[in-house]
Amino acid sequence: MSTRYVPPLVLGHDVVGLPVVDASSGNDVAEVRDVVFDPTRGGLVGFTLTKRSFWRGRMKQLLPIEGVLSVGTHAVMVEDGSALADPADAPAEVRRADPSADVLGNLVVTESGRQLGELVDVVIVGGSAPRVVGYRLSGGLVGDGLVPLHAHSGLSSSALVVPDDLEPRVRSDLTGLAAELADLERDRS
Amino acid sequence: MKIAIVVVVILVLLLVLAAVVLVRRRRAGGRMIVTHPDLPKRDGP
Repeated sequence: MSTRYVPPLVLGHDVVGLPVVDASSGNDVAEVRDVVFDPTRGGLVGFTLTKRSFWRGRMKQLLPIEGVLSVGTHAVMVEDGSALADPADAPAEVRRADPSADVLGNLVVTESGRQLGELVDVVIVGGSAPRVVGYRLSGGLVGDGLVPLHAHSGLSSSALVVPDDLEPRVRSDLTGLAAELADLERDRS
Repeated sequence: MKIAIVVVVILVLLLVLAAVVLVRRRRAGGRMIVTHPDLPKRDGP
């Protein structure tokens, strides 16, 4: 009997600090520093990196998503050390990632003007095609909760505007969010 | 007396070192950066 691999749902903050492991040698070559993603599709485009040392200095090299075999719960796997790219060789969207374009701390507001909360984390579905599938909110009308990233009206450096019908879709844990995402997928197909 | 001063100096140095390590680790990223900060409207998945 074969076991079907189900990509895990992980919080962005749990991905930060994960070792980047060279699958060919088993060595950890770096640590995840920042997550860079395309908000229009949710797809991860790459990572900035930190050195694996006591001082954890920033690495100049970047990790484009093309070099990633899989994002797991305990490591980000790459085929070999060549997956790390110098900034000059990295794809433009990773190279040009602007630290000020961090979405954490953004207010999440509905189209009718209700403030649902503050965006405190993103939810990533891991595996070989990792993407952001939801956001974690805190401190607003809905309290602490997770919402699926199925539609939004706009995103600026300070706010994320979402449809009014997102409010009832807030879930308290990753299991609930997974069920909500499955519902959305079913509705879509 | 001299030993006490040396001990205090060493403790202060250790505290400064710990603070530097903490600050460096706190600055060690953790950002969720978007490629398009000003996003056009998105309808559906």
